This record gives sequence, structure tokens and C-alpha cells, in this order.
Amino acid sequence: MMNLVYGAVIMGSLVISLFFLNFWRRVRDRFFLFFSFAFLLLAVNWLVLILAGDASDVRSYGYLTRLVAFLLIIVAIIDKNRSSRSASELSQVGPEGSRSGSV
Amino acid sequence: MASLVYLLCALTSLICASLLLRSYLANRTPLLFWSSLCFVGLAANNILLFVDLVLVPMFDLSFYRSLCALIAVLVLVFGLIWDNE
Amino acid sequence: MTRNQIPPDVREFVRREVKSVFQIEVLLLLHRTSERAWTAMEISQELAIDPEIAETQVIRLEEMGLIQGEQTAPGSYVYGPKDETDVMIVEKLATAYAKQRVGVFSLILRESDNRIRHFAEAFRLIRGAD
Repeated sequence: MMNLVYGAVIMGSLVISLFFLNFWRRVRDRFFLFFSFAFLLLAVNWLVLILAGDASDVRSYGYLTRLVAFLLIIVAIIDKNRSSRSASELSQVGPEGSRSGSV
Repeated sequence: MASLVYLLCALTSLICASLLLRSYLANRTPLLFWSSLCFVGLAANNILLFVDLVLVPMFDLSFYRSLCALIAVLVLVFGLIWDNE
Repeated sequence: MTRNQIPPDVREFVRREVKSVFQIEVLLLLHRTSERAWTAMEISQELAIDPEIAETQVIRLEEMGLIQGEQTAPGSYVYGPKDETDVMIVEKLATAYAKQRVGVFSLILRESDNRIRHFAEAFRLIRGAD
């Protein structure tokens, strides 16, 4: 039962990571790259936790990746707030029509 | 030490959730709402982790923890897919 | 900056309903020639677009209740919104489109990118102009 739930969580987290990676591709805002890696690490976190079972020393690796994942999110937020006009806003002013391929 | 990590994760999740909720109330973009819920779920997951391992070690809350994470993740996957144009 | 001069209801309308530039062009063509009916082929020649595209847009606009099929000439369509509010919105859209075409374009072309940007912008702790 736990395997089922964890499996779904891991898969979901990977899907989310992929979506954020795609967002980064489209909008070129590294904010999404951070989030993509964060959710990738969360997937790894849950994978380690379910594979480790009761081995607490291995479990701590899982929690380490979780910590790094959330640190990445914090970094993303700080980075977003430091660049006063982020890359995403700069591209709004530019000749967007010529760049966007999907109409 | 470990409990600090869990609390940090929970706090970060809550901050993300509130930022997303604030933006949703301003913009009404559905993705913001679902993302906000996701981070609430992740916060709950981390808080339960803290509770489970630090406060009530005699009980095993792992099922409820993982359920929180599952709901959180499913909610965001739904939000990312549903209004995708 | 230009987007802010487009009325909010027009912006909302474009964001919600308009999926392509062709859609607006066909709609506004029928709007400014509201006394006559057009077939998809005539529209495609007038606007110099593919007949299939004209056909698609005409069908979509009819589904949206903005144009109506001409009973006397099947295959022809005439401007005629079913909804009173739509009449006003299309009027405003025509004005906005004439004055700030690129602004309207940007609403169409980047709606899906907009929701992505909203996500990133949500994390600005100090809210600027959104």
C-alpha cells in the first residue's frame, strides 16, 4: 500500500518537475529551472525513503535531498526578488511575435 | 537538527503557499490556486513529519504523511494539465 | 504598458475567448461590414488567408454566438452577437484593435505564457505593477 502511494507521489513529482522544465524552456526564466530541480529532488527524496525502509542512516539521505529541494525553492524566491526586472519581464517588451513559434 | 530541517521545509512550503494564494486572489489564474494547495499539502507533509518523528514517535503517521504528499502532488499535476492551452 | 490602455472587459474577453489573430480579423471584418453576409471563401479572399482557416474561424465565431448564419444564403454569415454585452465588447475591441493592435496581439499570443509568468511573479515579495 505504501509502495503504491509513494510510487504515485514520486511519479507526480517527476511530472511536475517536467512541467517546470518546459516552462523554463518557453519563458527562459531560471526561476522555473530551480523549481524543476526542486521537484526532481523531492522525487528522489521520496524514492530514497521508500527504498530505505527502516534503515535510518539511508533515510537521512532522503531528508538531505528534501532539504536541498526546499533550499533551491528559497534560492529561487530570493533570485526572483533580487533581479528587479526579471528575464520574463524583459521579454515582454521585446519583439515577442517574432520569437514565439506557437500561434 | 533533523527537526529543524522538517520545520524549515514546512515553513518554506507555507511561504510558497501564501505567496501563491496572494497572487491568485489578485490574478485569478487557476494554476496559482492549485499550486498554492500543493504547497499547503507539502507543508502538512513536513509538519506531520516533524510531529511523527519528534513529538509522537510512538505512533506511526507515515501513511498520513504520504497521503498528504500524494494529494499535494496530484492537485498540482491536475492544475498544470487542466487549463493547459 | 500598451496593454493597460485596452479596457479590462476587452482584455478579459480576448484572454478568455480569442485563440488566434485570425479569429479577431474575421470577427472585425464582419463587424465593420455588418450589412452584408460573407461566405468563408469570400472572407479568405478578402483577408488573404487560407479558406480552411476562414472556415474554422467562422464556425468558431458562430459557436461563440458572435456571428449568425444567414438563413437566406446558406454558408453565409453575418455579424450579429446574440448577447447584448458582446455587442459593446466587440465595439470596444474594434477600437482597441485599431489603436493598439500589438497590444491585442500580445494578449492572444501569450495567454498560456501569461499564466506561467503569473506563477513566477507570484513569488515577488514586493508587488510591483502586475
